[in-house]
Amino acid sequence: MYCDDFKKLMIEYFDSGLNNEKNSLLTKHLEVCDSCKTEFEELKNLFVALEKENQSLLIESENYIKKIDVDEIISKKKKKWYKFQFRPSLAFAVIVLISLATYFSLTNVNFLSDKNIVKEETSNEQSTIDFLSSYLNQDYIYENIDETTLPKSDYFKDVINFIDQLPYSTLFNQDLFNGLNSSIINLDEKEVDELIAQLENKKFLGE
Amino acid sequence: MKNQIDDNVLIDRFLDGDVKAFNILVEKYKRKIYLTAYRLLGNHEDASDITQEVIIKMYNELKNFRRESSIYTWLYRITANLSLNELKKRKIRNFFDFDEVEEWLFKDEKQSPELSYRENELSNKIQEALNKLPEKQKLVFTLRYYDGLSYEEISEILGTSVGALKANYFHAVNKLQKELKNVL
Repeated sequence: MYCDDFKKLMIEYFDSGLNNEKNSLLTKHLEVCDSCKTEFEELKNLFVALEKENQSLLIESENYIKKIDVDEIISKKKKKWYKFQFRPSLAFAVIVLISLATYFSLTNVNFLSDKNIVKEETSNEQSTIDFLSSYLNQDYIYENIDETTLPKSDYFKDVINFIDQLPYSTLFNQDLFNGLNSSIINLDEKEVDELIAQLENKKFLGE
Repeated sequence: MKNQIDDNVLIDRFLDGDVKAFNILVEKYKRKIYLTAYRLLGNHEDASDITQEVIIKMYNELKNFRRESSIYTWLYRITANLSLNELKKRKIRNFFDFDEVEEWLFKDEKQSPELSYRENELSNKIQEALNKLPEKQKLVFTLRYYDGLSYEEISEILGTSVGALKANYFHAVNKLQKELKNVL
């Protein structure tokens, strides 16, 4: 056995303990190897310090943990839903929309007939950001409790393509940031790094 | 085993409309959730936020919990996922370099002295060293060392083989030892 193998034994010793055979091997080696003995002492100090620090964190955290009130969290959540259900402005908006839809259907006006208008709207920077934000905020991301069972994010490439197409001026927009923030729930570490690399590249090029 | 039976009884009672049963479940696990989130994120405010998010998810999703694993494995998985997502958000936030980032990064240093019972220097150094670990190593080290879970339980939570987890733990300890060599 080499010193590297003994290092593994040392970590195992502090992790879960060693059986008699391994314990005796390690003890004999430590008697003759000064560098491993130093390593062993360092590890011992590390675990003593970690334990000490953990104990003080447990005491410190008590105040914060006590403040977490289940009833308050759940009632807040219910209130939000209640507010959403009966928001007067929302009710007003729905009434206006229904009235307009009825008006247009009765007068037979096709307000989307001019394709150029639609095209112009989608090329507008704000529309792009709105679309990106809503695209990234797909509800299914939040509905499934077990994110690990979700299929790999197919939309990642689309996100990258979108960023590529965005005008430079929109890059540091708070809405875009919010959109990205809520989208990354389904990205793995490499994808996040790639996303940041893409953003940095964009920033560097200043397109 | 008894714990698991108790948990299942509490879950059944909650699903039958007994909110008290839910409160008992939360009281039983909120400390573990909080401390795991703290270890992964390194500050109390984020740990509180994540704990609240876990409680809300628990409230909404217990009906879908299939009970193929124990509830604490399920809760650890949710806590780990939410905390890792928060870490990803930090990366993006750091890129955008908003003013609040600095405030957010150092908010724990601004806490009032009477709240802090810890020997700050060592505690900060240890948390800094933990923060420098790659996410997977930090997660494995936290679940193994601080939460005392077995490698089999961690394997169930993270979907990684026991061998790979042991390697992660080994590397994490090695790095912590190197980082903290001069302060121990």
